[in-house]
Amino acid sequence: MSIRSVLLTALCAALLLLTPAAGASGFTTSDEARDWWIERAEHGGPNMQYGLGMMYAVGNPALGIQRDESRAAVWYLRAAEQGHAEAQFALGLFYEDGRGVARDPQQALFWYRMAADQGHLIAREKVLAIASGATAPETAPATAPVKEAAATSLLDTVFVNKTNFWDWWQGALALAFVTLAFWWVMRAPLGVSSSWDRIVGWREEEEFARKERAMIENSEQVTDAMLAETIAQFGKDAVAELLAQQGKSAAKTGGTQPVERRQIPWQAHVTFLAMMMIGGLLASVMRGDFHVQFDMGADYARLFGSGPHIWVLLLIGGIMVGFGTRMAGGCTSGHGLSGCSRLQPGSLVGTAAFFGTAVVTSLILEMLI
Amino acid sequence: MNNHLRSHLFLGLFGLLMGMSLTFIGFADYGELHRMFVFADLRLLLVFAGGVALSMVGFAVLARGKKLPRKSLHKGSVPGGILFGLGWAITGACPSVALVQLGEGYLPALATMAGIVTGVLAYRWMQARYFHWDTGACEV
Repeated sequence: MSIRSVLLTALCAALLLLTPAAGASGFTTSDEARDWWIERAEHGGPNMQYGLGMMYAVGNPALGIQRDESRAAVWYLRAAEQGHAEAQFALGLFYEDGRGVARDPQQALFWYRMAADQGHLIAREKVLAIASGATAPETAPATAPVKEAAATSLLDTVFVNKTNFWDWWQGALALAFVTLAFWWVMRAPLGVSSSWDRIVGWREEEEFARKERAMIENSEQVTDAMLAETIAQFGKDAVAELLAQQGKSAAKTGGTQPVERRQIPWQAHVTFLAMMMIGGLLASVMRGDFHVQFDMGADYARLFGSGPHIWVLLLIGGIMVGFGTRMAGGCTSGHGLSGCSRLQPGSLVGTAAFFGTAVVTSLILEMLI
Repeated sequence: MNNHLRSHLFLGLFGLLMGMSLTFIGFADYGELHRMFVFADLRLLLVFAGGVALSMVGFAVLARGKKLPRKSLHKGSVPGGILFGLGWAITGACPSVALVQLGEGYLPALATMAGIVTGVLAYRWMQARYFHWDTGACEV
């Protein structure tokens, strides 16, 4: 990936320099040449988009491209979103300096991280510099990173948050709060896979409820018929005695109303899942990284590539998730959070199985690239 | 308050809370999750372990003497877990995260969701026809 992108970047740069000199590019007007580039960038891959971004960043009069940093940022973003490391780094620089975009250190760090994760060395230095508290990495003395590295203990590497997400303790508090509050209010342990199950099985559930209602009505009719028969045979006194007895037993069991098997209607689980999605939307808008996209992000593309085949992969993976969670009787929330915290044997074993498998699979994937 | 309305209101609230938390934690971010699985970044592992530890204390205090549904070991625990672990590593999604990913704008999460529905349906069918296990699944 990196060698190819360096080569293509060099090619773009060469084109950039050669076009004004050659003059014989086949285009009659500079506008035509620019349109050709834009057309290629629109339909081409991230390399073309990064190339056009670079042209906008420095300007190329021969191509009729005026220096326009906000346009450069737009093209960098498009390439960066597809996992182009150079574009990610360039976008990080733009966010850090507020060129073409509003200055945003959080975004800068995010894009530096993305590039660093792909092995971009300068981006990695930037991330380290920002993590060590230097606000202006360029002006920091050259010895600073070295000193930081020496002071970094094992504990730091585990507990220091290198991302722009919550710290581990904030996340732990949030998960525990949701788990406990859910149980406290709903009087049932949190478990998301069963919500899917309830929704998917709504038809059976409606059927069941209908039969139950029919049975209750029937039983009333039967009772009435039996009562009439008893009166006819034994007279009113015997019936009064019988009813008194029934009343007593009804009081003992807490009313004649049958206990509803499932307290929460399946429709409420639809609300639950829908609001979970809206929660993701709201939070990502608040974080400023909401983008509608047809891929799963740079890290996903690094492991599985990008293109239509990832939809198939996700579908197959999804089937495993759906089938597996129901087979194991719980998922990350039901087994992992609610179950493990109550030391339930099924949950401890289930969590170990799915976590262990995910670790092994991910390590194998990493080796295969 | 109407029981139905109450269910919708509270479950909706918890859904919102959970979806937002998962995004802020980065649990729905494939890269973050993958870095936890390959032990390149232990933050998410600490989040999860911390969440379980705090819940353990919470349950011990709040649920003392109360009867909670048990989750016993059964034939499906291990194979089901292995299957889920594979799917989790491939999609980056557990049943809640697929929805959060879609909310964050990752459209391919729709494929994951379609897969989950298919998988749940397939299991219901298999369970009714062949397995007949008592999975002790969380009956809400």
